[in-house]
Amino acid sequence: MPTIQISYSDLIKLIGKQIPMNELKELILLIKGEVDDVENDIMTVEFESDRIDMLSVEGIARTLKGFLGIETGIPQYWIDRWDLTIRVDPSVNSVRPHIVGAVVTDIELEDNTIAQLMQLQEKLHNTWGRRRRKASIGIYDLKTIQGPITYIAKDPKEIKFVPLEESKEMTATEILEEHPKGREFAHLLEKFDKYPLLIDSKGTVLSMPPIINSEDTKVTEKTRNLFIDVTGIDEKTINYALNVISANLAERGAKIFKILIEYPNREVETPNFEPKKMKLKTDFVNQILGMNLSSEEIIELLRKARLDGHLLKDNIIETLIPPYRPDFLHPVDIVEDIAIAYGYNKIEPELPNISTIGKELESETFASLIRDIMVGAGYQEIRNYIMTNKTVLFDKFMRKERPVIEVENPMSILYSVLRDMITPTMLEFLSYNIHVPYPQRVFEVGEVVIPSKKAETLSVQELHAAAAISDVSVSFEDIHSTLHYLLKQIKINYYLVEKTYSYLIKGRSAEILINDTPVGFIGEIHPQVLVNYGLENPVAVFEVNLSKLLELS
Amino acid sequence: MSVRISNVEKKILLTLNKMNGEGTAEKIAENAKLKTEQVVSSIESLVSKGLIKAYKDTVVVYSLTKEGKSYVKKGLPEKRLIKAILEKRDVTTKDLKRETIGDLTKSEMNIGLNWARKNGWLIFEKMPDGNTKVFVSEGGQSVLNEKTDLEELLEIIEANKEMKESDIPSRLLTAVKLAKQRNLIQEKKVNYWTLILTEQGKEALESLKKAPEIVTRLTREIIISGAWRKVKFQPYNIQVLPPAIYPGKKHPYTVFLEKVRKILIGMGFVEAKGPLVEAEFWNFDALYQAQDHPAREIHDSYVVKTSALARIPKTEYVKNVMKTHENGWITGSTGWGYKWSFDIARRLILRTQGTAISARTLASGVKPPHKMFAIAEVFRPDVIDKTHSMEFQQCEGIVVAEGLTLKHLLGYLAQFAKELGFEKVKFKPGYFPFTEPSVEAFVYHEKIGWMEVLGAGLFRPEVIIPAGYEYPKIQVLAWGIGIGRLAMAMMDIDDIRHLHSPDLQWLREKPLRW
Repeated sequence: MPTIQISYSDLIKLIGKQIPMNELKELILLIKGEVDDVENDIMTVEFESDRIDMLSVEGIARTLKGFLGIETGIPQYWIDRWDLTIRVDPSVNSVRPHIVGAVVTDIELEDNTIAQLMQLQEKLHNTWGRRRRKASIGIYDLKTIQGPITYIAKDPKEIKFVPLEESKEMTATEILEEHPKGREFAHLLEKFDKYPLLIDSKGTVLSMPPIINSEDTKVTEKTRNLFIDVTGIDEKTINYALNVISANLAERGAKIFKILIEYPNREVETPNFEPKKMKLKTDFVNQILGMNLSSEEIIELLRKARLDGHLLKDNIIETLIPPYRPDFLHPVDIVEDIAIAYGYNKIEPELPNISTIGKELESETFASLIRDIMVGAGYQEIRNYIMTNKTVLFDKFMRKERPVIEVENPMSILYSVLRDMITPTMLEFLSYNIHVPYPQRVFEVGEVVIPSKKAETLSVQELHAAAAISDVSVSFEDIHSTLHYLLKQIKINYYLVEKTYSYLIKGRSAEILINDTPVGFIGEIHPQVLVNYGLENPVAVFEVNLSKLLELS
Repeated sequence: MSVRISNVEKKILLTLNKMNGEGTAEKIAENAKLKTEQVVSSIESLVSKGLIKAYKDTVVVYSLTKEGKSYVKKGLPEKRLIKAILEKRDVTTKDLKRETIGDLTKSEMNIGLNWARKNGWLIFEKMPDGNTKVFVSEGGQSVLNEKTDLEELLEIIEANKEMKESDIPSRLLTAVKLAKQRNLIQEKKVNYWTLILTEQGKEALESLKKAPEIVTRLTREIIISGAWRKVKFQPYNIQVLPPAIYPGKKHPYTVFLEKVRKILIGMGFVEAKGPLVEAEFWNFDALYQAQDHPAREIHDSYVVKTSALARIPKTEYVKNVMKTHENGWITGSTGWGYKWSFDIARRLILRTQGTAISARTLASGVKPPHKMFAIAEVFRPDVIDKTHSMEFQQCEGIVVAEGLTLKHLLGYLAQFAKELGFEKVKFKPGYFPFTEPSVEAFVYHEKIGWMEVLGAGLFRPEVIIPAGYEYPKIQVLAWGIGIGRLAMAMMDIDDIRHLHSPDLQWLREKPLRW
């Protein structure tokens, strides 16, 4: 979830009503946020990723005003036209084909406005913009720009300007190789032979999207009027980003102006603040919420949610959705907003009368029985992670490496594969406990994963049970009597066939068979394996495939 | 109240009684077949209980030293010396200094010469050649035929091993002095106890005769002989801690998960499971998570190292999912509006959410009403520490039925929390790509306070309709509980690693919660 920092006093000023901190915290919880931390005036707040309009304090204030009934419905922001055109050159088509823009004037340049704007820009880049791939936002001081602006893709060798916070001119290639922002986002452009560029009529470079703006057009403390652009690969995505920024600035009192985007074959004006319409059935709302709301009550709740609506005909409400809310794909999304406006804390839980028969998985019932028997036999249950590493599974265990499920992106090499048997992880467990009183008798019932070309997800899971005894002196007989007891208790006839395993002592190891089907092994761990795990006392083990036992029994 | 009398004490009193109420510790020990030390060590206790009186007589006892013992065997060196001189006849002082005679050793020669001279058993005569000749005197000769007092003393002490001073005949007392001086005997002080049975002792004995024998352990012998009818059991000190034992035990987390299972089965849920290695299709696409959703990025899912793709056939269902993603299909949704890739959907990852099992269950076409739950291992790329783990468990659940509502969802969640012992629950709106409306639930824990424990919601039409259900008639309530976190709170642990603890002693000692 995105986390933002806001000023408590700024929020209160924007809402226009004094709210004590503890009350505010509960309120924010009810509008899909959560206050993580408060330090003096600074609040750290988390919001759900679908509510991009609340990634700055202005959006939060707008929502809270509705929720508290201070101001409801869709806000009517002042909007007009500005004589500015962006000409889109066909060269950008194959690189980053779309652009939108707006002019914003009458910015009150207090600290909070710019700080919130910068934070909003960054959060939109990282979430909605998918780290600038889908949407990249540029903010400029309007007075440094002379229209019309051209959006064009150029050969990197021809691009040369002073990037933001730099003192010298750099070529596009230099920026991608040397500038910190260039290096961070180089992967978005590298594969193209032309890079997108915004240039004004005097030839001043505004920016090289989605990498960096120019120093020449930088916003300073003296800036009152802004030009904003958003570029990307999908028009809908960049429009929402522009709308969120514009609307949130407007919420603070700034004036929004549309500009003209001239494509070779069409023209559009942005930002477009026209609300989206979606039909909503009253019945549907009540069906989902389990309530009995009238259409009027629903419209009232829509307004509290800062949406709007009117009755088209009986049972059908035309809902209006503001242009900065992309989170409405289906009428059910409106229902959630109605529920939020109603207050999740006011909804009464109710248990339906649905009769079904509960049932445990057969494998779990079996696993539970095996655990009971092993506990009765005097063994302590352990639970190792299924994730482990090849050193534990093969090197220390002196087993020839075989295919296992391995991950491409481990966070630690200790946890990089899924185990295909339990015993090696059990020996690893014992190695942490060499000073714990003996005898040590442990067992585990758990899953192992084995690659299989035939299976849907190219692997099969098996439920295994493994047990180990360690003491100053331990024999094959000690572990054999446990295995014998276990299998007799579940009425399974087995026999042992002497077999050599690299990790067991020769002549003291056997394969466990049921009706000629191998189901596991038993034996004394080879001294070299003990040494590899740092174990000083002998260990005797068995491991059986419970999935196979279930099949056979 | 009768005094407690041990078995040894009982034997002493009985023996004393047989000895007419008086006897020495040695004698009592002999008669009672005890060791003298056992009798002596019981004296204090018996006196303190008033059962006997005891008198101590401290006496000096003599025994032979090593030297003394050797003289008893070989004879006194002075006597052996004069005997040797007599046998050799012509002996000078020079000879005696230079060589040994008879069977005497060099040191015996010196000692013998010294004492023979002191006793006046030798005569020295200067010869014309300058040498001094040595003769045995008459007294010396006669002494060879009789025992000296010293010899007699040594012999009687040796015969008795040790002797009280008072038992030595008075005529030998001078010899005692001499023997002490010559370090042939040693003395030590010994306490001799005389025990006298008191009236109280006699009474106790009377009641003891009637009282049962005291036993510490009930044995087979006592049971089958019927002696248990008469014996009394020595009471134990029940405050003493018993020795620790570490027999078999379930893992505390297993005990908790079994409880969760029981609750859900009791609420009518059928358990399900699914693969740990999962296709992105089931983990994300079937749950209407767009293919460029941030949760699908490499830092949020473990990607299986393989170029192979999951073997998912392109069924009608898969096509429905595709169309829903692209343009909403018939679900009434706008869809995500992008080109859906079957290859991305078939990439293999380690399951990141238990909801994959819910997706598989729905697609398998379960008939409403149906309730499913799963306790699912899930994996997320994370560095393991006190609060994070790359592998943990989620408890998933869905209810598929006609006419379900948000209120019902909250009802199930509240009920489940209540069954786990959480009376206070609160809900907030949440966001999950596959549910709408979505809920997050908090439970109130006495020590921790409000804890966020689960996410829930009504499955979106984009999830339900492709699986073949009629929406909104059929609704699917769904939830996923961070069961590990709940387990930690209930087990009173603050380190998530304990859920898979590598510490055997911790596992042995950790109390179980039920």
